[in-house]
Amino acid sequence: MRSKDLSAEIREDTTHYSLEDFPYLKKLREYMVHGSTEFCTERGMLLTKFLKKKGGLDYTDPFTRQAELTSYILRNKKPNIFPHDLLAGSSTSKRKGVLFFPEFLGASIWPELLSMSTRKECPYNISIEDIMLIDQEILPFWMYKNVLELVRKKIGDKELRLWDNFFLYMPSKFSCISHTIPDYKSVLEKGFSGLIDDASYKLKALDKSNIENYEKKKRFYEGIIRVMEGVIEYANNLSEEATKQANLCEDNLRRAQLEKMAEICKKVPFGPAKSYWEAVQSIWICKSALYQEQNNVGFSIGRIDQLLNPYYIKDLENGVITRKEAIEILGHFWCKIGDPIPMVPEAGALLFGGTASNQAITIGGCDKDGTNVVNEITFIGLDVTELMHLRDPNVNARIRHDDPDEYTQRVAEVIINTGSTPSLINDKVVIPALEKTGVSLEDACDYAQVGCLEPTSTGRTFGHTGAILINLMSALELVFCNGNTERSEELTVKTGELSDFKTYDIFLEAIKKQLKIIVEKATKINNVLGQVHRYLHPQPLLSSLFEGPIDSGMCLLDGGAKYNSSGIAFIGLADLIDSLYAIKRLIYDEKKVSLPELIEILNSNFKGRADIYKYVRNKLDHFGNNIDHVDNIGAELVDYLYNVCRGIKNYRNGFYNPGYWSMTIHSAFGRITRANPHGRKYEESLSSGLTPVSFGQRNGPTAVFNSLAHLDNTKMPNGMALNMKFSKSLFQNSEKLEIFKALFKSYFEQGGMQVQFIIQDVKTLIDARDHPDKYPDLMVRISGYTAYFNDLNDFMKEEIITRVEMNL
Amino acid sequence: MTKPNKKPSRVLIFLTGKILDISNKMIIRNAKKDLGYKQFVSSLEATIQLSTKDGYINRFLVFDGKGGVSYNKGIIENPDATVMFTSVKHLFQYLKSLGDFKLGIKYNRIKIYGNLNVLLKLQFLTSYFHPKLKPSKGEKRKILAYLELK
Repeated sequence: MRSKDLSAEIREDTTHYSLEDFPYLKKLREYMVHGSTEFCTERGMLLTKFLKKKGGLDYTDPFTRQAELTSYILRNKKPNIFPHDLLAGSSTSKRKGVLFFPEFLGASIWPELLSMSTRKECPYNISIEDIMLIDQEILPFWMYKNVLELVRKKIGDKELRLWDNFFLYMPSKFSCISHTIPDYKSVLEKGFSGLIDDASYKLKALDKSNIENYEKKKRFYEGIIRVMEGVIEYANNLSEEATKQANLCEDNLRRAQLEKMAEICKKVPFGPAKSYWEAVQSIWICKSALYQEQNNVGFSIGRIDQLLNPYYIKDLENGVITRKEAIEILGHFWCKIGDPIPMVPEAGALLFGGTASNQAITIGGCDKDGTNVVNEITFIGLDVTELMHLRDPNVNARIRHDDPDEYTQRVAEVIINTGSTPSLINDKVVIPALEKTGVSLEDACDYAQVGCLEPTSTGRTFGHTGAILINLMSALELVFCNGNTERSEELTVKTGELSDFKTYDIFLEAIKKQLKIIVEKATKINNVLGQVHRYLHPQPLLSSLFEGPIDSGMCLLDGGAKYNSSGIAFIGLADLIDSLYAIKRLIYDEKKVSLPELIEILNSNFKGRADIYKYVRNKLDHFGNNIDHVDNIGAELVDYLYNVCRGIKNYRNGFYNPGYWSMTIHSAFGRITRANPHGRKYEESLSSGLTPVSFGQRNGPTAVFNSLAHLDNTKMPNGMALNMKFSKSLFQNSEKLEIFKALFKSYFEQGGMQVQFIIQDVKTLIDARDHPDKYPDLMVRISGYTAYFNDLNDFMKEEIITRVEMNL
Repeated sequence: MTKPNKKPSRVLIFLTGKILDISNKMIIRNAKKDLGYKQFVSSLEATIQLSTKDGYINRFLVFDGKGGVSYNKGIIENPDATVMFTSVKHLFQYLKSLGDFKLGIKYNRIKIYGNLNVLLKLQFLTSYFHPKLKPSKGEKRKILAYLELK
């Protein structure tokens, strides 16, 4: 199935390289993993300086302002080429730097300016000069006009109730809107010169009869042309820098590389890419330019193997590249992707401790006709993933029934060798799931994962898949106290006194009502945030790299994309299923305790009621054991939440898509969620993604898979995460690899959407917890992305260690 | 579900108020004697109310945007930001933790109204005195050098 154009000789080149074969790459990787992170004020300063000079945000219309601003940043950004780089450019002025977005939640770092370089979790180096710049120049300018303030002014403190509502949901548009995939294919094929031509043609052809519409579209086209010209100038600056460095370089090999980089940056992304190296460099320049516009959270790359394979094959045929060179260039790209570090304040580390920037890359899959398109770059991508052993990018492998055996084999090997990546995603479920939301079959076939694991039609769906995170267990607490929690009064609506819940069905209806209100509240805030983004942060550059805006003359935020949606991640579904089942049994079927008694037990965190604790934890059935009467509760909730979400429109006229993944938020929500009826104690983590609760998994991996497949996975268009943990030592026996492959293939055949693995021995994880220095780059899968174990907060480490270890 | 709040003891009210007063007066004192710190203070023009929900403690700060700060007992009208602790006990615990906001967020012990950015800046100003966070003498010299250059 690998490319038919290749000679037998090429196909047989499956050499497994080690980092020792790539000395430059080795050094680069060393820095990306072990080098310190530096806080970068470049973007924040350029942005603020520009707006101060212009007199503030309102000197012109928002779209023109943002186009001029982004172009200004790109033209004035330092063109960095660091030692050993094969790809010119960087996201920040540092080799590994924190991108600063004062217009979003940049001010959250204010209290930590003096401590960020010494704090325990995720320290960032910062100079006194930069502290002064941030405190004196940048943040004061934004104090009354950052996203938080604009939203508050729009809806008022009473409606916002940010801290109260945090228990229910977390809207992520306060910090970003970037959970999406740009259309890199168009820039590779046409170059910005071609895209500028397209926009210019559209501009000239505008109908002038409707003057308001004409003016708006005119501003749009002029804006995107301006910002694309900014990218071209940035590339030219990089080219000049490469020439400058080449002229000073005494090492012949390095000089030749720099001269080549200078030549490439002159050509791309201005023009179409003609070679593999040009294609990779073009994507990287676009990506690092987009970082100046997009706060990078889950800003994903798409189907790298489909983008690059035509260039690689052509270069191979022309004899201008070897497989080893292709691996090296892609290795550099892997490193570059991780060069911007997300800004996480200390309080955020409580929620997102250890988070990468979650930039997903997807390999494998099919073309628009459904033909399997696993290719040479698919394999090179897997090789690079194994070789580099980095947390970013977040690699996802599409799995199909017609995959070549060698692909499935290699995917399984890489998972075992890295212990965590790639995650697996099932075409058989994802494609119909996307179709259900209105995406055409051929566009659904061209999907890739965004952020953690949210399937999205590449370059066509503007879906901010991580828009809202909802704590499902909050609904239970709200029903218990009739909408008035100890945290806050009248948080949602009244759903009845405890005495009203005469039957389980009435109780369940109350839960559903609270869930619906939570979703409605969260989506309302998200829609207000969307409107604020339209004013504060329109997206000219991303709009130029997307299917739809150039045709329609509309910014992405105005609904210019071909498909529009917003994503919700529901957290704690397995806990809610188990809790509802426990309530049904304890209160209504067996009448072991009354509802008020149960709430008393939960409020006391099971203190003095070990009998109930042991009973619900150890005796009652739990989700994940292939037991219909439990799994049916899950199926009903999945259907219900799907209908609720798909009934609500976002600010771009699209609908909300439900999904079930949690990053590290399940741990954070767990710390603020009371004890639950199924035996989860206060402060214990909620279940990750859609993974059954650890103490409830009794029947092994097949039963877990069966329970998951019992739910309608096509009603999870925003993705789902199933975490499984296997001991690494298990795979010393080669037969186990075959069983492992058969297991996930059979799960996918049954209708499961996604699965990801941690392949580590528990004793290794415990040793890593106790002796972090011994394991600097031990990687684990959280609930969507990959993280370095050492970067996780203590609660997440514990959650990973106590995840149930499966047997094969 | 909601438990009635126990009345705080007079000792707790006194102690909490005193610690709050001392820590806020440090801002005023340092703004007068430390040039670098005065520069930090001068970029803030805002009023901030610090209160407990039970009404036992009410204080407010006024930053004039030129380095001047005043600190008073009572309630100011239309503050730019308000920090409301759910009880005197929770305010005391917050002060005892040397301003660990994470605890407040985790247990929902803090209600915030108004402009959060103003409070983040205030947190920065108080971090200057934090035993673990405050700048070293060398860093203070660098701050002064930066100001001189400017």
